[in-house]
Amino acid sequence: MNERRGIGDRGRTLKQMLEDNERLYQETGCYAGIVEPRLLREDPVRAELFHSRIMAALIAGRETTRMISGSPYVREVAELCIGLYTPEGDNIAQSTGIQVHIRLMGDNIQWMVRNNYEEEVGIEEGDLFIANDPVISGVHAADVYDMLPIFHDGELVGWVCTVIMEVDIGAVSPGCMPTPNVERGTDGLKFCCEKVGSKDRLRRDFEHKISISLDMSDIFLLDRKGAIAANIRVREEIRNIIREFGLEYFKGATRELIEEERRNQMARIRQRTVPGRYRDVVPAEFPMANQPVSWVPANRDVIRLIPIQMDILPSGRIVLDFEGTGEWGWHPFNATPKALWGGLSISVVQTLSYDGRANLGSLLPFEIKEPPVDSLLNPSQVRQLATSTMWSPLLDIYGLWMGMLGAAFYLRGFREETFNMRSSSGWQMYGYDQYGTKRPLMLSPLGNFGPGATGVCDGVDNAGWVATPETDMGSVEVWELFAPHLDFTRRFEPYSVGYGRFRSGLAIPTMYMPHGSRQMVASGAIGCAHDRIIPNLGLFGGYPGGRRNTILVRYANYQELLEKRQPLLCEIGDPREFGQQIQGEVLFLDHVLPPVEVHEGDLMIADNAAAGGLGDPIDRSPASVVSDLDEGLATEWMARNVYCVGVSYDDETKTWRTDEAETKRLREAKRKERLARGVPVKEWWQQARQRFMARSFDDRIVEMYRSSASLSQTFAQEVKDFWALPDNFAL
Amino acid sequence: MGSDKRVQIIASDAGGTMTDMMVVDSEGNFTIGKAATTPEDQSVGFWESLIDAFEYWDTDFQEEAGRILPGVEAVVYSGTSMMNTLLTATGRKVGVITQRGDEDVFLHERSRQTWAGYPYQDILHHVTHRHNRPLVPKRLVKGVTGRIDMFTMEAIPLYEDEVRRSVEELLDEGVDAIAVCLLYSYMNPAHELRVAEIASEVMKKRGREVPVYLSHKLAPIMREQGRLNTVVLHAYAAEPGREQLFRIEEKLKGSGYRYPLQIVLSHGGLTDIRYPRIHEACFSGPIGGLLGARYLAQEMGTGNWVCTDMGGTSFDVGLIMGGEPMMEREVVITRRIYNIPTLLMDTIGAGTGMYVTIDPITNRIKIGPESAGAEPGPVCYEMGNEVPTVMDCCLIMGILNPDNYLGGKLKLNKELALNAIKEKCADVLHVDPYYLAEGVYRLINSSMREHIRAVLYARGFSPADYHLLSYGGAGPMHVAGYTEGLPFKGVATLPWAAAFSSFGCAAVDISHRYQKSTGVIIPDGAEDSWKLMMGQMMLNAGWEELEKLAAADFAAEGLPWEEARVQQIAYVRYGGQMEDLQVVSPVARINSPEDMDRLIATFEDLYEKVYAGVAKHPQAGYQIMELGLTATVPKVKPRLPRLPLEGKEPAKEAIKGEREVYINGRWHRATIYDMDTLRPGNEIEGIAVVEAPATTFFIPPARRARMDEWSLLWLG
Repeated sequence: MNERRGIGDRGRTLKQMLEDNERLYQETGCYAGIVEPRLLREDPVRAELFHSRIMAALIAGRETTRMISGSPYVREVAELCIGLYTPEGDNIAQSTGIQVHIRLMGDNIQWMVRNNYEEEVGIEEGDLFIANDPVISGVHAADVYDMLPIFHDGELVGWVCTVIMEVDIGAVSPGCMPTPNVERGTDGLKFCCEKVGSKDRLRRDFEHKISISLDMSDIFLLDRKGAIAANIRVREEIRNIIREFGLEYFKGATRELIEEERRNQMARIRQRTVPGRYRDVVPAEFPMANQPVSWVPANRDVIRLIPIQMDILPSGRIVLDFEGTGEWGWHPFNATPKALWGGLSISVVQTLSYDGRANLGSLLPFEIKEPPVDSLLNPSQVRQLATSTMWSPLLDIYGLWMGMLGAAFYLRGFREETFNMRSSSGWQMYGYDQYGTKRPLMLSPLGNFGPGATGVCDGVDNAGWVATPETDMGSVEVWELFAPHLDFTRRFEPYSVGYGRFRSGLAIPTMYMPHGSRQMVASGAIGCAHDRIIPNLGLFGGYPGGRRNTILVRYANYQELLEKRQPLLCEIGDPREFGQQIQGEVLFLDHVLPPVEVHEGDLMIADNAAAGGLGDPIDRSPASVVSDLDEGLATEWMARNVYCVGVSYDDETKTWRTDEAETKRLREAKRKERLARGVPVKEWWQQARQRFMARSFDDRIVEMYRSSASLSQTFAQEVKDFWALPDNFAL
Repeated sequence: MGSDKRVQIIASDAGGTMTDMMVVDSEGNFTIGKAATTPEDQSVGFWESLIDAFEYWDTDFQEEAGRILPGVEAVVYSGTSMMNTLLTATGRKVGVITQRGDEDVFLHERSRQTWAGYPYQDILHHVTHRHNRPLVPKRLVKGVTGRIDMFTMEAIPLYEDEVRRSVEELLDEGVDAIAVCLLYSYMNPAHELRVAEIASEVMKKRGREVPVYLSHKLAPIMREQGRLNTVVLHAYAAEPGREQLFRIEEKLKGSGYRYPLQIVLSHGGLTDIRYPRIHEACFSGPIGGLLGARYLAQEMGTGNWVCTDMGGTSFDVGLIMGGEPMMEREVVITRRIYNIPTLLMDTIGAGTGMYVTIDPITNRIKIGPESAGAEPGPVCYEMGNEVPTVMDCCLIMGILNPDNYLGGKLKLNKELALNAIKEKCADVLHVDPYYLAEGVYRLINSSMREHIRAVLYARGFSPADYHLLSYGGAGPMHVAGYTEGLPFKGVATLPWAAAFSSFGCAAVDISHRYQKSTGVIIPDGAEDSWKLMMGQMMLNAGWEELEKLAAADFAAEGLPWEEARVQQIAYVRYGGQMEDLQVVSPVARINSPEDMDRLIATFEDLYEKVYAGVAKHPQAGYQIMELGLTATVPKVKPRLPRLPLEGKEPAKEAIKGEREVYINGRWHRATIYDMDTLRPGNEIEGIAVVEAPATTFFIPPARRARMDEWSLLWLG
């Protein structure tokens, strides 16, 4: 019997190609079995020329999408990316942008390959596929992937894929990343690698479906058209490259680029890090008790422990292990093992593989051990769960992981490469826009966070985020046109800081007042605004950053303030005194707040925080402290009590001055105070053990340990061993 | 005097280190001069450069200025002096009044400014991101309460006491100027105007006046950070720069020059140095070449050009479509965003001064991003640099003549360059140094080629519709490489490529550009009455307002408004899009629904050309958020000499000799020509090198070059 001729290399099916590739990797440890990257090494100049052609095509494609898109996420903050893939779905190269998707785009392609699309759905020249279902791949349904096969003389030789983050995918309000949703259906439209067009054109029935399903269908469709136009442009350019370099060279060199990058990545890891075991832990809070959900059992607050263990092996491989992670839940924060690769991709690009060659090879030296089945990171029944906001715990995981990697850099002497990241808090709104249309109005400027300190200088203020190297907060005049509100501040929040010899970059809070909307509802964005437990991002004696918080101020006298020209709130100031001058309600909504109706005169505040400082704050240079005081980036209280620097204000020059003798005295006193407060480790351990034995914690902490222990015997045993708990002690 | 004709135009291009001068006579003959730029008093360098230029015509300008200048019809200045003020942070003490809550604006910037303008690798590499040092310290930034909203209505009244207090405090600080930028002022300037009134009252009372600059007057375009940066640029660097220009004008007038000094604007316009938005001249330095290309295009009747300028550190690409350069309204320059309409110049770091190194981890050849600059310069300069550069590679390949650099003024040390390439790079990779040098030459050519491709393809253009022009000191040496495989209609360079920028400045017409925001919405299937109303109320009224402004400016400069060529512009997009396209309106006014249809059809045609049919989305309707207007009157220009074609064979005197050149992996015997001796009609077979004092044109094997009647050298 004749076997069907496949559309891939030498008549193989894509599935056969994928299986062959995996087998060769297993057998040789080298990508596609390439033990010797011959093409790249024999003529390195030609190889460079080849790669630069591909990169130019991708970067030009990305610009095309930016020009056509209707989304402020694309135009203002560059939430898009475009990549080239092998027929089996392995990433060859990637444009700038949100490089979260190096592997995730490919996982969608591989899903189609494994599910035999070649025969059952058909993959032909000019076919358009889209996907956004995190169950298959992705970090939230808001990221929509547009995929286009590249054929050459009837053979499928690759794929080009563009991802754009959408404002509206038809989720339960607010439409894209809702937090009060606990069931899959409320996540919005899901496309599981669907064919939505052919001959380079979207199908009209798809366009009709979008038009009647989404409040913001025009923007969604414009984004598709932008992505498709970019994909076509890249495809044509790839064909030119094949004509120029030859098909065999294209096939060989694209795979060698992946293998070469795998080796380079291992060399970087060996050069820049000290091998060993690094551990840390993320406490993830999911306060759902007050959320308006239809599945009532979801109404409970839980905390889940996510331990992170990183083993750097002398060979240059890195193994990540999330053993001990607690259980999934009825909330939208459930993640998947595949999504873990998304966070890893973007973290790796900003720390190790930033030379423009990042591709699947950058990730091959990494192993992510399968998280415990039925944990938050690996729910077996994920098809029934909401996953719209899984990005929330992932951002915290990888913000912390960057610091773990940073510690490994630091130990090897690459101090300048050390940093970590903190993620967002924020509000999202939905309701009537200023033109009278009811729609999602989500806002989440990306450039407001303060990244951690480096080993040689302070973190860069308001300009670092895990999810993209191209952070940008965008323009007030654009955001306000997009959603009906007034932005009241872009002042730095000094208390967001992570203190240290080098401090973190500072964060900027957001303060939005509804304006011009006849009805608006607001809720928490992304769901990270709930730091009852602050993740410790301080390094080598540096302190964690401040607490993220959401606050709702309801002025009782807004009009009166305007009439009397009285001051309006535009900064947080000392958190201990916040709100004392305000007439009206001040609600500290220190959790994922349930939807609340807001009006003109209300101020929605997100007190963003920064990542950690590095080194002991009392080693900070007094000149840096004074510079911060002069710029209003620190307070006198901080100078004296945290940095222990004697300072005084000179009314004449209107600048701060340090007092050397006072500084010396304050610092000596602080050291003595620390010694006086300290207890021997054994003593501390005994006291803490007693507390543990008596379970004298908040119920949610007790439940957190129980949850982790229920999924991992190893975790349970380690806790018991550490605290010397009796065998019959139930966690 | 070499030219017996009357000198008609003088055009200067003052760079950071050198001031180039082009002097054109009434026959279109020109001579080129050069002198060191004198930042303290630019009139000195300007004058020295003029003296140098006239030396080529055997004229002692110092002696004869009084005879020559009264007959000159236009003196044009273009330069980087204002930009240098920015780079060296040596501008005026400026106070800023902004929205209350945004006093940290120069500390937080747009976070994009921490990485904008970086090479790709550094954009990804987070720890390289840093803020710009503020030009205005925080204590000089005052926030005032008050708010105009997105509908141009007053949402919060202006707190006038806060304004008064702010002005007082800034005056106490001794500021030289006050810049004001409030949200949505480009649509409703009421609060900015009131701030100016209050400032004036306070200053009168205190008896101390400083200028107050308002963002809506200087840069009436959406996006507050770019608008604020622009008004600060104006107050900080542009106005002090104007004082330098007055000094030049004074010196010229002292010797009998009769007209105002003209200055080139970054959008390609030309204006009297008294022009109120003088900051539009700040970034005009790099666009001279584009203006020259526009003139060439008009004279030669070839509409579409890709203009490429390669120097020591960067490679710039600009586009001329249908005879007009493409424009950007928001630009990132010196890592800051400005709302200044500027001719599109897409720049990458690719220049002859770039360092060549081998990455210790990946063993990949790395070119740049750092550059050796003029000091210490490439290894072959013998000024202490030991790291090879692209220029060192060209030298050991034999493309560059060690005895002809800058007309032989600087001798290049080939042996030193070879040793550096061998030890630092070739030996590391175990390859031959000449193989490596050629590899570097090919790689940098490739990176420029990909940049050209990206500039074209991102906008949906094809090389097949364009000619390419190469200029800048290093362009002709690399042009064969960076155009290889791109199907341009033709590829050309010029004998005076190194001075093409000042030629462009001499060739520009007097032109002003205006813009304003508007809010035209045309839904899909809109009624005719709606189209007409939108057209009349928004477009016609807007264009009329801009025309009034233009007419007033023309009157102030003594220009004949009735002779002006006026173009009405609309920026059109589909409903919901974030970017728009510049559409030159096919009608001067919307007098019927059909006129609006014509405007929209022009947009649709352009959109399809740029983004392909699949991206069209008319069901979302159309929006026009901004209008523009250009008003142009012709000025005398250098006449581009069109000479009769002579024989194909170059004269014997044009052949300087032969030299070994390494290319395609082996040595070739190349013929060396003197560029200045070539005549129109001459043809040269590759492999050949054509040398001029300031540039070297390389013709690889199997390629050829032909000089046409305009003296352009076309690569075949």
